[in-house]
Amino acid sequence: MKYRHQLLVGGALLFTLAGCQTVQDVKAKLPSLTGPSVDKVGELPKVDTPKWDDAAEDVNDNRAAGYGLVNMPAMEAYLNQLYVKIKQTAEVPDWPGKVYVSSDTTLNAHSSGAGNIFVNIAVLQSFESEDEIFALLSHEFAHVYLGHQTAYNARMLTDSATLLAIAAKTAAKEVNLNGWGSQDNIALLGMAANSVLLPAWQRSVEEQADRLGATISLRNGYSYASGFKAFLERLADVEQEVAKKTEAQLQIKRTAAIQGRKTDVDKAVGDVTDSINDKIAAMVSSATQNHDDAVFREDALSQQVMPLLPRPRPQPRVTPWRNALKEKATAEVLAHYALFPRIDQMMATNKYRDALRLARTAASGATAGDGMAVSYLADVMQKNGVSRAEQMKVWMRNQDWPQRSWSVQVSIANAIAATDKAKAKVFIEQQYASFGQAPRAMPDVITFYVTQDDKSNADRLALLCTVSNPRFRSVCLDRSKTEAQRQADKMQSAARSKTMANQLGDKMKVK
Amino acid sequence: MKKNTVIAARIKTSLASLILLSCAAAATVSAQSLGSVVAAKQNPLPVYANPDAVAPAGTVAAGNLPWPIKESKNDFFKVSVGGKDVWVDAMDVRADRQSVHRCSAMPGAKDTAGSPGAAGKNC
Repeated sequence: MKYRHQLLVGGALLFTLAGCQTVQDVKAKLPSLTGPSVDKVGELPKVDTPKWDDAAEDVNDNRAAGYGLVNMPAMEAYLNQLYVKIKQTAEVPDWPGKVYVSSDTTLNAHSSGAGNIFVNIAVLQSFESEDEIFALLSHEFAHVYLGHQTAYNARMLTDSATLLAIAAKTAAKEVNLNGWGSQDNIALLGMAANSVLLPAWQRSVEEQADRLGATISLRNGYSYASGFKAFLERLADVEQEVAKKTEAQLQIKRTAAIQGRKTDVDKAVGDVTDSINDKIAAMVSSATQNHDDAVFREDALSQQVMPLLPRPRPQPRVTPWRNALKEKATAEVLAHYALFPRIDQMMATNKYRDALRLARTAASGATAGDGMAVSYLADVMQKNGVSRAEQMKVWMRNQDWPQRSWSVQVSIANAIAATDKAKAKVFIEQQYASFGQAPRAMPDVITFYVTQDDKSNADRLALLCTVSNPRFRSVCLDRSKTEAQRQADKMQSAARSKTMANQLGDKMKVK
Repeated sequence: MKKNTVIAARIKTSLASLILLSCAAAATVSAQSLGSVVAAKQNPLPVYANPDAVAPAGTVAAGNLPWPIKESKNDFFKVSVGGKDVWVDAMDVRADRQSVHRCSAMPGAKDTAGSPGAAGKNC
């Protein structure tokens, strides 16, 4: 088990850094942190009903992510029908949660602590059968069912003790190693957790969701090869392409960083930091390499599923999926979303008039008020020299749209502020309220205050954010800073890094 | 404006593909949508005379990949190996899949931790 090995290595490293006392402390917290683990396909462990997150806040939070949600009622009805089957199969038909379509153009989906599933539009543009979409929904539901949200929330709180507890439970191993000072532990704990343990833990979580999801899919008679396997193969292809690009970009960054170390102090600090990073990487072998995640997941899952497959194999359910995609409004939304890459290409090659023509089509009919469509159109209009008043009309289409986008409200507020700051402030505050003061919207409101020289309101909201909004705590604090504050922080941080690196550089002994 | 990272090799304009797909027969999926067999999990690889046959008709060396998929039925792929059409079990191989995946500079605050998702961070 590759990931199990990584978890053990990561766990060992983390416990090494943290010391025994902390491990003992967190052991007491174990039972409530994560749900049951799923070791085999075919298992459906019994679970307690979780404490649900607020559903309205959850949806508003996703309306504030990127360009927000996409209005696709027929597609959502179809997906929710499948979600009902999934919950029934897991014998929790009364659990809350619905499926929504996100405007995110990456091939992904996510679930929430409210039981909701958010399917990115790229999924609808790519998947080829009901088996595949059912597999994805089952996988996301498995995260909900197994209580993985709790653990993710723990990470958001950057609660090191909780992280240790999760590691201890998952790795099922204690490593009693000492020799580290408490300050070293704190400094390196985050580094180890983020670079080693958490990626490995996240992969383990994904594997468990795969197993439970596959169980649910198989119980519903769906094709495994055209469903779960196809979905993981698709992810594998994306991962491999992205990994190639990421590696190339990293190499450029490394080279630039080395060249950017002008002074002797910069070089010394940089060398020590590089050395620490290299040693951690060496200690954990391939733990930080995750470009083959989906390939590994597919292999591991297929091995477990193979003996369970019926003969003859189930036929892929292609027709219902195609019918769902062919529904008039759904097909129009997908056709319009397919225009965005072409608009980007035209803009990149200064073909602004052609881009405007396509952007007008993209923001019409079933996407006339869509957050992404109106944002694209307004941007392209600006490049074409169209007046701000005309842009405003386009943004305003989103005001009465069934799925309102927070980013459009921010654009409107900024446009109003150009001529009337007081009116803009009233507008953004009204919108913030109407989005239920969604956690993800909070940093944007802080930015708005800062750009309007309203530092006291920015600081007030940032303070509230640190207390009530742990997921965006660091973002809120960062957004509340003026440029002068940001520069001062940078200098302070550089000085701190130098001291820490000098102190820790010779403590990282690798055999 | 938006920075595209288009997985060019995978994209064949989804809508056009979907429209074409909708014209195809339900049980048999067109080769255009299925891509190729890019890896074999066994070598030599069992091959079958018919889709969903219980026993293999023989084996072939898993070389010269990728193999374009001509047809898919019952979770078996028809491919041409050495000039001869054979069926391989989809469970024994890995196929590439055409997908739409586009990284853009999206507005809004980014989460500090993320949430349980199907894929890792792929941008």
